[in-house]
Amino acid sequence: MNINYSLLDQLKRYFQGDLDAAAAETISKKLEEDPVYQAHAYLYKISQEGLSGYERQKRLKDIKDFSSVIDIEAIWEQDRKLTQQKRWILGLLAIFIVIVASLFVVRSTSEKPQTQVPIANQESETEVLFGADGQEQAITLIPFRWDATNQLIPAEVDRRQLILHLRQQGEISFLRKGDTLHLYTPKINYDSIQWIYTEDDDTRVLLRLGNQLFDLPKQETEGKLKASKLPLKDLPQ
Amino acid sequence: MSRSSFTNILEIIEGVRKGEMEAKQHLYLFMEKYHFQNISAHLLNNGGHAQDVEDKFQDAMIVLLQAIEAERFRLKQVSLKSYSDQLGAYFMRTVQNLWKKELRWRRRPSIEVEAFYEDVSIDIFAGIVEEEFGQLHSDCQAILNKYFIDGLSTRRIGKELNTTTQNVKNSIARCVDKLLSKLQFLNDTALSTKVWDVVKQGLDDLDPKCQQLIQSFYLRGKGLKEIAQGLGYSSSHSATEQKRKCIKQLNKAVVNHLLKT
Repeated sequence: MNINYSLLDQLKRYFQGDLDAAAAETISKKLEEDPVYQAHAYLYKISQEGLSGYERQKRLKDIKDFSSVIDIEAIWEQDRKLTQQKRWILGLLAIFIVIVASLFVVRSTSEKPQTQVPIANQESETEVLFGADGQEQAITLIPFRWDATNQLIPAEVDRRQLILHLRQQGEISFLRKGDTLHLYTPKINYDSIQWIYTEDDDTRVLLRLGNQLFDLPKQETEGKLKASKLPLKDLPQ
Repeated sequence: MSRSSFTNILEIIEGVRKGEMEAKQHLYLFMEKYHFQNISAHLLNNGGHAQDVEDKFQDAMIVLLQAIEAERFRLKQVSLKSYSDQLGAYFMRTVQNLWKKELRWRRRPSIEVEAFYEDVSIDIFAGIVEEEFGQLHSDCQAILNKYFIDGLSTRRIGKELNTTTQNVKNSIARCVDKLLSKLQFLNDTALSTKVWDVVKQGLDDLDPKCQQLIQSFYLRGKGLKEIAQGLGYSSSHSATEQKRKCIKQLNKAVVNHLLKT
């Protein structure tokens, strides 16, 4: 007798459910009428059962013959307790995550900007956000030089620090100590903030706030910010 | 009750992975005590019998042991499921897959023989295959295991063994040829009819207790627990062992008759 191995393989796949519906239907019909298919199906089953029987004998015989009584309940009980502990820990962790996430949401909401100020010549794209009175925001500015050809070019000096203080009442005032400028301002929706040197004069500094230009002399006590006499229309855009 | 040398399931699984017999015994007992009922309910609700529950439990146990040894199954430590539930879920999926295959076999278009003789003969010839399989070279055993038990395709086996699909097909053909060498007559339909006659004759040659056991089990569909009580065996385990012995006797008788014809 010759065993048709390709047929045996097809039948194995049929019984495992690995064939598509059309192929399975064909095999099913063949099994009804073709004795060769029937015999091969029988051989498949016998082989599969025989191997299972061998594996059961080989692998389970010794396992099933317990020489001593095993206290398996203690292990089950330990697993139950451990699972309860894990559920508590995971539950607490979940609650902690929810609390942290909620606090983050609440904080984000309370810090929701009343206005947002996009600032030109700022080092990064960070938006200045303001909330309650007295809040501060530090910004690093790249100083510009207003040259003779009416161009604004980056000045070859260190960056300047601008600290904005929100003050709802009063006019804009400032305090300039070294390279740091403190600005007390009730209005914060400026289109741009720029630190500008005039031509070659490193001592004369202008501050542009939106569409206004101010003189920025060195001043170590807080004083009123004064509008510059230089015409804003001449300032390069 | 003696104290276990394993204190938790993780230790048992690690022991099984290392091939420790005591760990395997613990796992077997654990699955039997805490998951057998679920398996039993599933199979009995899906057309299985008591013997099917026993067989599929053991087959799934083999799959589970192999999966742990090959590290295809691992316990998840960060999970809301207990280790026992994780084992139970894997075990149930394995049983469901095994049972689907069995149902496909049972629901196939029927071969024209009496179901009783077909069941008996499958057990007889599977017994012959079981003995022959033990005689095969370990390479043949490994490849046939992957093919018939794990159900892998020849292409997948080729990948695992780092060889071509054609080589795998040739090896399977050679190994199956050896495995079924004593059953080659089954492919002859005229002889097949004779086989059923020979099975009947072989049954007549058995001692009365074996005849009763085989007929109760196959013909009347009684469970081994019931058979054990009826025939005076101490447990269903003893009845299972006795059934094995009876099938072996029948196996010998059938082969002797066939060799004469």
